[in-house]
Amino acid sequence: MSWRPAAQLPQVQARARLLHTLRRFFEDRDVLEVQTPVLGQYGVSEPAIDCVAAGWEGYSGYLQSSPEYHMKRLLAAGSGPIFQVSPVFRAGEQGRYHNPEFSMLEWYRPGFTLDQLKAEVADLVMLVLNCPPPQTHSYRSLFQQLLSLDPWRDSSERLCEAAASVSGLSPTELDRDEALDVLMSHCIEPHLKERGPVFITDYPPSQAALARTVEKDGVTVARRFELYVEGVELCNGYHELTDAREQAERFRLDNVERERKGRPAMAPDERLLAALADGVPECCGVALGLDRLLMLATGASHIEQVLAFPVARA
Amino acid sequence: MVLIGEVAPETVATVDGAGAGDNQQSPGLVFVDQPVVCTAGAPFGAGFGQWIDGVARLWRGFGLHWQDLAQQRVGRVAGLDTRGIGFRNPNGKQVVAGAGPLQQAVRERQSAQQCMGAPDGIGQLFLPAWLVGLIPDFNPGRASLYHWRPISIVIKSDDPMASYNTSEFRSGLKVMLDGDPCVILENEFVKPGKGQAFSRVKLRNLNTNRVWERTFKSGESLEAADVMDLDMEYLYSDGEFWHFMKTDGSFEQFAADERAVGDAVKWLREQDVYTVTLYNGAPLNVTPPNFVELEVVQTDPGLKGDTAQGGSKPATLSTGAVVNVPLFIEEGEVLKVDTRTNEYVGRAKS
Repeated sequence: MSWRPAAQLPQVQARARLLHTLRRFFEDRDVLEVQTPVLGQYGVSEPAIDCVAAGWEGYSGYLQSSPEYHMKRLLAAGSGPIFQVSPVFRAGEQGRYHNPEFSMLEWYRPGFTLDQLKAEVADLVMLVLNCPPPQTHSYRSLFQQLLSLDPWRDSSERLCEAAASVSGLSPTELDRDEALDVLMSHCIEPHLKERGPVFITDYPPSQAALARTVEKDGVTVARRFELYVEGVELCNGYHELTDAREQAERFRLDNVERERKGRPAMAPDERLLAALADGVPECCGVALGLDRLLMLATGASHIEQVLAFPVARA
Repeated sequence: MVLIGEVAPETVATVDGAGAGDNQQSPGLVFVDQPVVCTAGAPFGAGFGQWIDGVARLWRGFGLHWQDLAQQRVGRVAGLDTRGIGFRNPNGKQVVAGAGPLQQAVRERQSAQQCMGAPDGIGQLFLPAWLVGLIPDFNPGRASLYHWRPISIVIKSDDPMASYNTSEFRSGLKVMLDGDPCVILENEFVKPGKGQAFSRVKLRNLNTNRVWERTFKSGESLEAADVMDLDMEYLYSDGEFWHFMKTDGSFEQFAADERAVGDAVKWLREQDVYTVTLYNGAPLNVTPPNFVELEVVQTDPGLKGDTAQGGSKPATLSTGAVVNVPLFIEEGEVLKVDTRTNEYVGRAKS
């Protein structure tokens, strides 16, 4: 067993330079750097994320899969715009673009519209990657153009059949969102490899747990965007939900879904709900996978090339 | 199917006549065939290990072509999952290694033995002096003869009823899919946005040789296929079957039919060692070494003085294979050929 790091020294140095660049970027824009707990009492309820449980006798908690809940409580306390680079944890996620522990750059902009936040994300990514400005496509238009499917109007049967035909999975073992996930990962993401940076906007509401929804072109869309660079999913932005009651309802629905998938229910974060009830300012927020950004910046083909000690060596 | 090869300490202790202070330290040999850990161009690794208080510790390792071993009549031994082991550092001199995966292998073997009562088989590995000579910093004078005495190798197959979860998928894993044995070529973990995680897997169907692409939801599992790659010496053909013999000293023979031998037939030379894939104990496939050295038995005369560039001509080799060779090659020469591409590599070094 090697004690050596997986990342070469130039990669380790590139990470340091990237962190420096990010801090200067946010300092220039008066965004405050904060630090919130890695270990917290509550984990997220999102149906497709498994938190890593951690605790001891008399305490049970989770390594955070995102600093989101804590950062929203800072926003509620009047922090103003904030950013954070923190280690986050997702059980079982390991592959070319995944490591169970990874670095998240997350920031929140009170008073920003989603378009303003998209522009800021574009500035940051163009600064780091020296890439052209991202194009924007709606989730719906990509499905319509590339697959002749409508994620809103087509029946679940049709979507599941299409997903089954590209994956070898059985249509009966897929639900509507899983079918969309298959089509996105098997058909749309590979296509995005040939394009420059691309924002995907206006997701189906079922694909955006913490985003607001609006009516657009006759359908309800979630105010969420994702940025893909060379087919790599880099970041995920929301017009954040600030309604405590709506949030409580989504926690409940998430747990119904988790139960259906055989995953343990997660207790709703009462402190987050209390903060929302007291008032989190209108804001947009985005989470960016720092290791993937580093992969793109350095031309790495596997996330392990940019991690000093990926999970197998950690 | 995972083959675990490692040194049985008790056996080594009986043959090595360990000297003073060596009572708890038996030298052994560990082979691993994880390409990722070896130096460039060396898809096979080998290393000397020691048993200290029942724990295997690798203390000398080096990259080595499996084919070179086959040519030296060293049987295929192992398939440890040793991706943590590093063999050479970049300057190519010092060797680094660790004990963790080996301990893991020992634990696996012990637990498997407890489940099944006994190891699957014990083979003899003769460690020739040439091999010792390949080891950097190795001073035979310092060590006693036992360093190249016969060493017992335990070969252990997994429980055939085992199954593998998507998180265990990796290239080389043999699994059952739609009733056919398959080998996993690639496994990619994908997870769009905040959605469902999938494993996108490329598999080769070992029956048809077709490559399949299949997606599995994370957490699903596939049954393990009872497929083993073993090294066997080719004996003879009776016209209907091609007969092979295990190289582990057991003299066990297997008859492969035309379908199993397939294209390998044109590379078969008696007494050479090939990889025979067994499925449920019967030959499914025969794979020649990546490189073979064979004599040219027929080719048109070359042009005098044409030693460098231009043109090629067909040459028939002693096993019947026909490859394109440069014009200067003559009958009777021994050539090195890449069996995967059917390409001439060069004249064999004699």
